[in-house]
Amino acid sequence: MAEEWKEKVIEEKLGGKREWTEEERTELCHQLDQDLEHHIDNMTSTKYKDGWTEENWKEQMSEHPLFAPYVQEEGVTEGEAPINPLSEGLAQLKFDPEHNTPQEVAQNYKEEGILQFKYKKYRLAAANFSEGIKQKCPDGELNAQLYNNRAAANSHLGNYRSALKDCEKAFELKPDYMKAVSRAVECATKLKLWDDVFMWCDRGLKLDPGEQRLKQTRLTAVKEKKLQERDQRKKTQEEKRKESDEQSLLNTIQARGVRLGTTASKASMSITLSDLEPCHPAAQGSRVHINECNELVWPVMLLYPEYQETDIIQHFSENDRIIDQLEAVFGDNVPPAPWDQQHKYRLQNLHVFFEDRQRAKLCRVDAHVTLAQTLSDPRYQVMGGTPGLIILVEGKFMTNFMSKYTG
Amino acid sequence: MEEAVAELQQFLVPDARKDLKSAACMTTAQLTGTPEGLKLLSCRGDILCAVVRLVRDPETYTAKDAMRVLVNMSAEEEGATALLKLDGVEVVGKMVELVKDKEYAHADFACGVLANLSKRREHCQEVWKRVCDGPTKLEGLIHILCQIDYNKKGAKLHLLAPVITNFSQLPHGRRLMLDKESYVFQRLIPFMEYKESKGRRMSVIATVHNCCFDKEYHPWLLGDEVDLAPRLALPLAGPDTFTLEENESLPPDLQFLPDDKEREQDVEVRKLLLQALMQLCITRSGREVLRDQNLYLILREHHKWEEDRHCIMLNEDLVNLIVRTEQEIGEDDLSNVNVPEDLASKFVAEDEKYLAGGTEDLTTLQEEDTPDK
Repeated sequence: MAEEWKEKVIEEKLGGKREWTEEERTELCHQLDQDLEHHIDNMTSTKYKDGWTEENWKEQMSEHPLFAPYVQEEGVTEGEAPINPLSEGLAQLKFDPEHNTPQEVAQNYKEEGILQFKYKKYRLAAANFSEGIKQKCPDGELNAQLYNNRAAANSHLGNYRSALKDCEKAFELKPDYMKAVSRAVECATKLKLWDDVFMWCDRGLKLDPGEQRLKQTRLTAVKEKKLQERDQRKKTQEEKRKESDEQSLLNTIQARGVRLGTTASKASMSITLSDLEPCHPAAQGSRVHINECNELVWPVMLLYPEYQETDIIQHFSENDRIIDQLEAVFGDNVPPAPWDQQHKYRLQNLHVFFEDRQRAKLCRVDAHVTLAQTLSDPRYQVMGGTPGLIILVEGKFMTNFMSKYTG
Repeated sequence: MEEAVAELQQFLVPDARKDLKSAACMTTAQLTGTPEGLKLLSCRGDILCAVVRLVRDPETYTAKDAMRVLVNMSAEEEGATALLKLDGVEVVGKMVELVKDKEYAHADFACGVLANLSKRREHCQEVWKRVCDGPTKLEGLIHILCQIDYNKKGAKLHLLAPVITNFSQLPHGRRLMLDKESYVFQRLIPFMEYKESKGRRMSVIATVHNCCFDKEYHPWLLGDEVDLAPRLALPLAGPDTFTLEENESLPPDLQFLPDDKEREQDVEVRKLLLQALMQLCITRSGREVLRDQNLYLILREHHKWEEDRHCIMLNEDLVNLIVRTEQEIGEDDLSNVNVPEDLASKFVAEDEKYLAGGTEDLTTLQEEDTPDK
């Protein structure tokens, strides 16, 4: 295109003349100078009115392509500001591969990124450095700087992992790049990747064996790693202990001959911890456990079908007699329950049963036995990890209730 | 044989025909397998020089055989002397150069040569001097040793560790290793638990053990920057059997040890560890650190497990110093205590009797163990 324009000028303005002598050239220049002066003299002078004034300079500046990117309106977040078409044009020229070598483009992106960085526009800065890297220009040093700078930008954004990767690339391209090493140590420390910290500190100490700060960092990292490993071991130990305790609990329950029933049907015969989770809200947090005397302690539900009420005894040791626990609820010193309107439910009147689900029978329980003896009854099934006992008193309701069960 | 050996020489040159060169190298290597051959070669510096020049031969077998010659020669005193005396080549520098080369496939042999050459007291000083004069120096060798997979051609460089141990027998060697300003000694410590190579592990522990004999470095060794004591106790510790409180009283290195933690299997290594800990107990401040770190717990459990008499004795001597109060011990620096000749020999005799399986009653040993002033 430039060629065409040149031809046109030679044709039109210079009459197609191509061969010029020194004197002819000088003569032409002189002539052109005179023409220009003549033209200027003929221009009328007008008052300068398009310049920036006190009032409008801010606005003008924010629209001027040279200043626009660096003046943001208040409240506008980075990346949302409208891009001035004039600055876009300028930018295109700077970064246009048609007018620049990859190296120049990369250099320009680098400078642009640095400027953004200074104004704390870290995302924009990183984007610029990325563009510079994309140029794949042959200058290793420049690329190393681009990677390191992008690492710095990402570091400020908290993207420590990306930053670390960029530091690796930078160091690869420039093995004496102390800045990349320092940045990498910083990022690896933030990520608590102690082995990486060691590696980077060693790289740095190789470049500068007297670097005391790196040495200190390495020593600190060694200590942190010890603590980290210790914490991991402690956690593993606790998990193992928990598992072993749970297994021990399940074994004890099976050894006592307690049958656990589950609401869902199960193919396997072995019981798991989930079979012991209490469903009843009041029993939450009182799951069966083994106490210091090696006894099982159950949450037990007392059911009063006559009044559709229930009670939960949260800690019923298997060796406690049922009657002793009932005394705490229905004994002489205890006032009657609010639902016990006729005051019938007193200790001496109570009849205790459990339900044999399989055969749909009601089984009587002698209250003078222990819970363990009741639970080991082959007909007894513990549902939802919470043994239940049905409490009734003599009367019409009880007769009715019992008749519903076969035999 | 002399004429045959002379004939060999013409083929031991880099330009010789490949198959002849290889055969000559192999023959030389075989020679070093016999005492007469070795003796003969020790007088032929010219042949030895020629062999050294073949260590980088492009033919693998030739280079390997050349290295074999050097390994076998350096293993014998006469051969080592001969190698160190060589005029045309500087064998120590050459070996270091080979070790430093990440791409040299036979670097393990080079380590072996250096280990052999530095073994004997009379040669160690010379080898040390040459290493220090060279570009790599002690720090470089330790850096290489401590980088797993340094060599890209499969050489493990485990034999570099005994070289360092040999240097640690020299006061200058220890002084360089224990340099507080650089980060050298600390690099060795992780290898005290190195499962992959018993040789490396033993040599590193031996190095550390030797370094514990310089009293003036104890405060640094026991301090924050090195924190050596727990690392000496770690190989003696077994799976965790302590309560939560007991665990928390130990240094992090020794807390919550896993169920599969194994104690150091080798008796000699356990002896080195116990002796090193003993050395650290020479001064009062050293004993106080070991007390503060509650290493007694580790030693207590170790005592229950240990079966070797010598180790049990060392354990008890150590526990003795830790468990007693400073008042009872009475002396700040035990290296200042002078044990009279007659008592000293009596103690030694008691020890030997015990070690030979004599008295099971250890109370007599305990009471008389207190040195008189």
